[in-house]
Amino acid sequence: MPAGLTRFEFRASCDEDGEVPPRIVIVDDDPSFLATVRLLLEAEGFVVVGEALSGLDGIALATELDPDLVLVDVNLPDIDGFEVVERLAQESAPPVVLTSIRSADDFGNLVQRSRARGFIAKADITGEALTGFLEGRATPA
Amino acid sequence: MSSRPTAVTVRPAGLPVGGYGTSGPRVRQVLWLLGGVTGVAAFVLVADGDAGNAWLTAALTLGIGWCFLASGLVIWAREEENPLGLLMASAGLILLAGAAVGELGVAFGSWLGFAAVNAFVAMFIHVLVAFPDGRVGSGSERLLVGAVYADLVLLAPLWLAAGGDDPPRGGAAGLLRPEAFASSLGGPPAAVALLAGGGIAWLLWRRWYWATRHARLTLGVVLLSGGVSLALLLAAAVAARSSAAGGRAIGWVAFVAFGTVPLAILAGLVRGRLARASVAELLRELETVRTPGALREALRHALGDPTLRVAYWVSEARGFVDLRGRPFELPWEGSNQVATKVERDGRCVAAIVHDGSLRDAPELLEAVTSAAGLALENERLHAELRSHLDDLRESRARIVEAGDAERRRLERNLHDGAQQRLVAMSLRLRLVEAKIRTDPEGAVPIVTELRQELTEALEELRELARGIHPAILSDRGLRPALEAAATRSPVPVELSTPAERMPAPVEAAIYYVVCEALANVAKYAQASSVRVEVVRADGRAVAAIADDGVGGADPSRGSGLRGLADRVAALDGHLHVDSAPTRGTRIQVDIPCD
Repeated sequence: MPAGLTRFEFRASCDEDGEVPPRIVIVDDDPSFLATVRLLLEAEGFVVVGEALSGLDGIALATELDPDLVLVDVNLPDIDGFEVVERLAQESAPPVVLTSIRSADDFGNLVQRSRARGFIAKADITGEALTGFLEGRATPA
Repeated sequence: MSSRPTAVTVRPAGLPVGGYGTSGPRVRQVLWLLGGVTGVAAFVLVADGDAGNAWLTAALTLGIGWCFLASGLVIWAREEENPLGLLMASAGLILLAGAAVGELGVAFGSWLGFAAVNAFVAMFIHVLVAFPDGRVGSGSERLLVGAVYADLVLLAPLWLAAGGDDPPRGGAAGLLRPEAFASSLGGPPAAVALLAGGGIAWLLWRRWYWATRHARLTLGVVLLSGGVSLALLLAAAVAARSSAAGGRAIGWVAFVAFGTVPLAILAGLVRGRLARASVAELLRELETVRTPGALREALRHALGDPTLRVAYWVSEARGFVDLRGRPFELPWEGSNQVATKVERDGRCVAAIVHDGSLRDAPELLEAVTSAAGLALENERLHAELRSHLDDLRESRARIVEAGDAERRRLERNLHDGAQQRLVAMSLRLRLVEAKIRTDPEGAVPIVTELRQELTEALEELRELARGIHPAILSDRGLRPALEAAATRSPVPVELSTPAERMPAPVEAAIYYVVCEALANVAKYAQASSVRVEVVRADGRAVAAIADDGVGGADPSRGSGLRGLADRVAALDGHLHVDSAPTRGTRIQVDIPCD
């Protein structure tokens, strides 16, 4: 497995209600951000099955693990988040939600024109918002 | 080959004057008269003599004599400073006099005529060597021409007399009796004549070979006609040994060929003269030179060189620029073009870059540059202004670019630094929010991290704000601001600054230069100490930052100092970097400050 790619053991097959918790892959080049988001999402009932520090690693991981959702930072060291979205869309891979320190306004209509499921500013990331995307909404709940 | 630019320095002087000599015109009148009388006498005596085809011989003798005399006198009148005219006129006169004296029928006259005609041939060779400026330049040329004179005028008659022979009768007409001419040129005189003639032929061929395109044509025509004449004369003498009639026929052709030489010389000099007439035209054209670039056209026209270019001296840049103020490279040695520098009042004004062949016409160049001196000075000022404007435009563009770059840097710093930390803190706060009820103990380390993160974010923002504009500078002035900067510098700083306040733009410029210099010292200089000194005197603020590091800084590399140089220049100041390898770096700013 290439460096910068982390795959986690599938620790829970189902939660207490008998529902299968959503599996997610996070792609961001900032390890401290990855750690914080993982803690946050796991506290809210998500299972983070993989983390990648670059766009290409993220694509490989998402294809391999087939999670329910991929959360991708727009600014990545190799290819940017929009490119990740396009490449994953061609492989009928899981839906992608883009995220950034900037707000959606900073990207004009790039998000709307992309094949991403939606966009969420990093400061707004919550399990609830991501669940909204999983249910097909294009904007955070 | 060395790569030095070639340049001939021409100081504009007065226009060359010709034909105003004091005694020249009187002497020429006498020579015209003398030549006329001698010519008629020679014609009558030769035509009446016993030579075969006496009338034809007489006519040819008169034709050649007068041709030389008239061409010589015309050249002399036009170019008083050129001795070629007098030489040619004398040759013509001596030929006619020799022909006349030789036909007198007395022994002494025959000897005199023989020597005179030989002197004519020697002078003829002298003319070929001395063309076009009338001077016999090199030592070897002088030696060979001297040898020809000694051989033909002294040695040949002596040799003839020593052998007990009579001189060939008929003076100049002797030339037309190749059999006699041949017998007179036997033995050592012939050997000397052949040696000297060969040497001169070699010299002249070499001169033609090395001549420029412009000079080759004129030189070629003259030397060819002269060479053909002498070769025919020699051929006639050789032919006469086997057939008198054949030798004589060739001799006539040779005689006609002799007559063409003065005409070729006259034409060559008139060609130069015609070019010179264009100076007067240039002076008229200069009256109408109004638009930039028109002067170049006028000069091209005057000098007959469509490739001519003009470069103007800008003393501040210590170099030449074109009319648009762009740097101009003078041609290198070895190229077809040559630069002639033009000076006015001892100062270099411009350089005219022209075809190398114009070097053969120094008087023309001098006349043209002197005529165009004032117009060149005007255009130089124009070019200098353009050069300054270009500098200004470039520095303005750089200032705008630097402003944009600075905004990009700020955005990136904010994005990568404070913004990132705040987002992370926001996410952690959310975590704390989730944990605080269920797992208060677990929330404590997260809050500790948050506090740490907050301190760092604040420090980053402070740093950023200081980079945008240090509050201490505007609030407290240059000295406290520089003291603060010195404290932050990892390399020890020795600081000396006046306490008084200076205008805000001056303080800011000096502050940023010092900060940039200190940052560079820390990054590259490997210095053990830096000395920063700010002095205010004579209406100027001067700051110098000197380190004892490795030196070798290149101010053109990197945008930092360049941008600061623009900032300083905007205040009419100068920034100077002195950074020889191993001798440390010294940066000095000098800004007007009243």
